[in-house]
Amino acid sequence: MLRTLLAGLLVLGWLSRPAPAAAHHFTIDLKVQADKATRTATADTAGAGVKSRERAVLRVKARTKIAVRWTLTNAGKTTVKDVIVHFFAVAQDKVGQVTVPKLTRGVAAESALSMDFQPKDSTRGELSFTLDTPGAYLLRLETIGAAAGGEDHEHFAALDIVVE
Amino acid sequence: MKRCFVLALLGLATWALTVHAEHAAIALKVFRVETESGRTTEEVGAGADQEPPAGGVQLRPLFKVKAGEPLVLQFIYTNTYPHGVTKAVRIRYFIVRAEKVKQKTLPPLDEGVVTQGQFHLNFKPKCRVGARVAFTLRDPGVYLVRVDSFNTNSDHEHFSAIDLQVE
Repeated sequence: MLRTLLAGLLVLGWLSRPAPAAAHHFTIDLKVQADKATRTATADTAGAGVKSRERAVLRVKARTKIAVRWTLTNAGKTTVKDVIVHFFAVAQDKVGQVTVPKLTRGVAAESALSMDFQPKDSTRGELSFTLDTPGAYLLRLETIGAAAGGEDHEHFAALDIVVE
Repeated sequence: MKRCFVLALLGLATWALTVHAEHAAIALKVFRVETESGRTTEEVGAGADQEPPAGGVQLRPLFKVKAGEPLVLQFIYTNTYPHGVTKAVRIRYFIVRAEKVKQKTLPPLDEGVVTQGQFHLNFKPKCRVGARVAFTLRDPGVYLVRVDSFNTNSDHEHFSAIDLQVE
């Protein structure tokens, strides 16, 4: 009887586990600053059928120095190998645009690094740049290869900048 | 650009300008950019050097540009040290006003910085770090473009540098 009850609890626990797409194995803190104004974003999940959160918007004047800082940490309990951490700032058609622009033109800054992430491993980055042309821009930090390395989805954090 | 840049980090690009050093390979470039098409045109490149001695041993390339023209800085730093993981490495890049061409001493980074950035990560063999940043130099003068490493667990650090002369 006891053995049956334990087995039942194990099955119930397995069935009620969080859906993989809802799990955040990587945490992201993305911060952008221009003059005294700052905006921050945290990790979202990229995958089929996953709706992204609304992005924060920072309004700046053209040629204002923009400073971006990010930290990405493996908050999971397994090692994820060969992850590329990719950042970019690119012009987009409108604020809140759902589709990510192609990075063939209008890119103000881009960076990438490759790393194996053991549990609690993190990487940090800082960049500064200016946006000379008025318009809407997307800032996005994303993982590439986390899904192939044992996760079933990628992670990202994103912000919008409007240059006036 | 996204695909090209990421593929380069994955190791599928060619490395014509890369000079292999003991522990690092660096491909540093500065491009001119056509305003209308966004295409890159003329470029100058530099490979890896090392310090000490201050300023390195390689001849630093000089790129003459016009004030106000759109430019792009790009670098890819590859860890070629084949043994194990090095924790908490820092890779830094910057463009800063300098006093003269071929200046050996580093200008202070508390003023005259056009753009700068840094990345903290654990190095494993063949791992890469890279960045591509658009910039414009509005004032004539000499500027130093440099990418360098810190805490690579070696008796020397690697860097790559280019001088820009703005007319």
